[in-house]
Amino acid sequence: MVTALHSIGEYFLLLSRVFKKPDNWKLYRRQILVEMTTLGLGSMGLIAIISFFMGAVVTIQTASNIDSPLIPDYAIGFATRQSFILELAPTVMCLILAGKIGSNIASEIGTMRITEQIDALEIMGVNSASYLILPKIIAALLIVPVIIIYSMFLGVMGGWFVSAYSDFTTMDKYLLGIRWNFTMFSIVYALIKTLFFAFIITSVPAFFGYFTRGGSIEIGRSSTKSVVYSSICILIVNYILTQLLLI
Amino acid sequence: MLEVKNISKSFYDKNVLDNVSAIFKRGQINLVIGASGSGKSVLVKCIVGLLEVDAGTVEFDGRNFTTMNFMERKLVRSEIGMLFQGSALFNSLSVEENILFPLEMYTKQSREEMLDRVNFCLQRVNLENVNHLFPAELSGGMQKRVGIARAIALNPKYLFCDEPNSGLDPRTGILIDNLIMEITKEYQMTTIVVTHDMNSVMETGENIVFLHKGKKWWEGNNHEILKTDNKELCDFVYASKIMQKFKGF
Ligand SMILES: Nc1ncnc2c1ncn2[C@@H]1O[C@H](COP(=O)(O)OP(=O)(O)OP(=O)(O)O)[C@@H](O)[C@H]1O
Ligand SMILES: [Mg+2]
Repeated sequence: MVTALHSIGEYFLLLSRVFKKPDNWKLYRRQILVEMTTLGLGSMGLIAIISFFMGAVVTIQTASNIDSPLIPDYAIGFATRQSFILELAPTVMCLILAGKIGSNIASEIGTMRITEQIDALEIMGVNSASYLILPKIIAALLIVPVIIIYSMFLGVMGGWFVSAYSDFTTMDKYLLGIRWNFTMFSIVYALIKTLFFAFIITSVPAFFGYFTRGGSIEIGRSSTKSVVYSSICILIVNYILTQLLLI
Repeated sequence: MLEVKNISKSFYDKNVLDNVSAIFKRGQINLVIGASGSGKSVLVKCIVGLLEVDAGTVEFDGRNFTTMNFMERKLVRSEIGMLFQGSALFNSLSVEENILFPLEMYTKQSREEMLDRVNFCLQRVNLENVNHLFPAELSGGMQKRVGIARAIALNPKYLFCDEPNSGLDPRTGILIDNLIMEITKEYQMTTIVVTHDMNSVMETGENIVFLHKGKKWWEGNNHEILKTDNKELCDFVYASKIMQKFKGF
């Protein structure tokens, strides 16, 4: 318990160093672009495959579980859209990104720590915490929402594919369903959550990486821990935000 | 001149440095020697402020580094070049970008001037046509030399080298020793070299500090080290059985 509190304290101390005003924006701009490419483009393929197939499966599941005549047919498309926009895209995809991006960040920064690259940065007068972590956080805040919108789109496309090429439902009903009672707020709500998650999946792994001690085994440990803890954080924050935003 | 006064450092309950004082002079190579784990790297990291000392002070030409704030330290650090034990090259950057890094941090030169400087430094360490290679594509000795090139990029007043020739063959090792010696004389740097390589001790030992279990155990030069009868130092210098027989134990 004491060590947990200690770690939380260290995490916020690290963040306060991360958000110190950088003294060389030129280096940062370049880093942000690099990170956006690695974090963003690197995840597009995985997210596309997962979203498409999950969208398809959700549609099939919903269709095959509804047999009451009281429920209108368009409920299938509606359910697919709602579950994707509200939870599957922001929360589940961010959990997946926590695994992919998170372990990546933790092992990258952890390696820099144990090979003394972070010390070398400090010697050169660089605020290493800020230089290494801030571009990742900014890049994630910019690119993860894009990934999530892309995931929403592909998820709904997955459902459309089912409606078009199988007889669980028809395309007309599906298209009616995904447009039925649509409010912009659900997208806004999803994106607000996404921003919080994007912050978590970069800052938590960065924290574990930055404080890695020892050798390559510890890097592995940091990267596992970072995935576990950022996932837990996402789930807790998701619960809190859902409570707050949907009152 | 760099002066270390009564510094101590411990990690949790483990005392790594115990009341170490030493003077490192300008224009010469100051060696820090000692067995593995005796606290050499920790001493160097304490001097440059990568680790905070628990007690004592470090003075760079009379400037008390220990009590400085971040900005003042940054100014001193612009005068420090450091070669790390594992080279610590940024592995996502090419050789050229590695050496450009400190220049971009601290100077306002044009890109051409900086590149000139990069090439000059690379030449100085006898490396050519490696500008666009990445650290992973270099051999250990080449990485060390790039590390030195990066350390001298800003023409530092203080040069720290943590085991510049560990893991190298004796000839390359001596080459690097000589290189450090040359630039130290040429630019009148205050150079501190950590080593446990007896070749370099005999070659470059103008001022030697011997650490043993975190204490300064002995101090002298390469002539005196041969005549010493300090037990621990002899164990260190004459590590092998044959050498011990030679000395007459
Ligand atoms: N960050 C740290 N946390 C805890 N203990 C440390 C830390 N850094 C060093 N130590 C301990 O301090 C002692 C001295 O380490 P140091 O790296 O200075 O040895 P060294 O003399 O440089 O050895 P070598 O020649 O093998 O490099 C070691 O016992 C090490 O375990
Ligand atoms: Mg060492």
